Amino acid sequence: MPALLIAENLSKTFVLHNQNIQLPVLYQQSLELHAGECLVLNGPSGSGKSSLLRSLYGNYQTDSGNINILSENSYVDICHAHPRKVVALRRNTIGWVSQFLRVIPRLPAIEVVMQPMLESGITEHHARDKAEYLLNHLNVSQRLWELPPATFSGGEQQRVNIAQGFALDYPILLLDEPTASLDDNNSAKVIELIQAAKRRGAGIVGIFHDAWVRDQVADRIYTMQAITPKGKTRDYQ
Amino acid sequence: MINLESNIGKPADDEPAQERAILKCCDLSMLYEPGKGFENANLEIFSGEVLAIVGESGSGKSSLLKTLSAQIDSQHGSLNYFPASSTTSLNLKNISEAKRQSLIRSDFGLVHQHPMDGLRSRVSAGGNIAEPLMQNGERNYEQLRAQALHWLDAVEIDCDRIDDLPTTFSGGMQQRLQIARCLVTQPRLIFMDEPTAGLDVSVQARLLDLMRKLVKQLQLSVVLVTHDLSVARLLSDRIVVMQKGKIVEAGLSDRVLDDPQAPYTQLLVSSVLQS
Repeated sequence: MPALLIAENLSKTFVLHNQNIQLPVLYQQSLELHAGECLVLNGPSGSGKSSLLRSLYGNYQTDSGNINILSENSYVDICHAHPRKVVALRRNTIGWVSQFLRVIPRLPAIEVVMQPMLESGITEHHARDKAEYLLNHLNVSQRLWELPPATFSGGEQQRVNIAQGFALDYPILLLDEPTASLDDNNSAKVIELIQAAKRRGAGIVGIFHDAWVRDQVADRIYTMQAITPKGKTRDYQ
Repeated sequence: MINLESNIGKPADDEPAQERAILKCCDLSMLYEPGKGFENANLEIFSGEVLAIVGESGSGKSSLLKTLSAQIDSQHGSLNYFPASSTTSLNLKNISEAKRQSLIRSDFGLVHQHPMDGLRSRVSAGGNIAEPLMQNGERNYEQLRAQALHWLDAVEIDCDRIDDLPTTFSGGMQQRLQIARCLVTQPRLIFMDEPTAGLDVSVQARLLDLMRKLVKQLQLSVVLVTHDLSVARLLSDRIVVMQKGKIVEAGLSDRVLDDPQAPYTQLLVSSVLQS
């Protein structure tokens, strides 16, 4: 089986022009992701986990290196692809779940979850079924489904967001602390979704704050450390 | 067996998109006087995408929009439109006035910042929607009325208001009516200049949600000028940032907003209140 994602020699330095500051965040990072596994990015805060994850999604622009993503039997380098291609990759190949929900005004929770499915051509009927299943699974009370999530509690918004992220069976899933601020019971529900995604063959790269969640889902750990001025070392277990 | 390794590591910089643009400009310039207008704009707009042009007042974004939509001429560079029906492109710089007018009527849609700039104040709401169809040759009253009702409903205006003058509408309703008038001819490419700027926040949210829905449903291509970065984030696939008449940064919307590269974009993004 070919790797789902191959990142090679990624380096990134934030250049803040107006403050005249340079902040190196990634130095020569390389990783591979295979079907059915969960690779966990681990390290202290400030070690670049989030920057690396965002780079894999094309949300951050790296200075050098490339990220080859398997899509329709060939690799697309998301670092150098045309933005239109990145939009297409995100529609069919890479899913993203963060702890923060970008609320679309007025859209009811259930439609927030249905949205990626409808955009990829799934019928309204099937999309609604799956959205209801996911919201139920994540213990989002049914009385909230027809309400816009803007007024929900943080944990409720987060679970709507997770439901949306797992709505489509993306080959690659990127998870940015999906269980942050969830109670153990709800975190366990998210772990079940992650295990199910692995079973269907998805490759997952994730950041998990809670050690017990990490222990349950991780197949491999990618350890990161903050960059020292001379460059950065990394361990690859 | 497919060789999966073959294209790994090859430089893919400046890789063209695999699809055909519907509007393309190269080195386009229109300077009214030095520093006023825009220069050397290179842009492509693709089918079904929303492109946002952001920048402060006076950055030339509205001039660029007017030129792209063939409302005003340009001094240098090329501007080509690719009609759906033909494989050859249309050079919008050397186009006859009659052809320009008919293209704007059939393929382009314009939404102005001030709704009454795009509406007729002495014509009923229904008449305002039906008028572009009449200009395109539709004469059947039943048809025109049915279309007017359909589009009023699509933009969430109560059908009972069909015979009322737009001057009796609220600002948000007027803006939605203008959008209905724009969409009734089923344009391929829509140009919007600050469509939410003059509206209350709650009205803005409703309009944004409506626009987002219509863009997806009708697979519209939109060029949207806005100074509001949250509007750009919500609606657009790609963002072009303008400063002093020049494009200083372009890319995927969330990339431009979350990891801005140009000094001016960094200033713009850091100046916004987070909500």
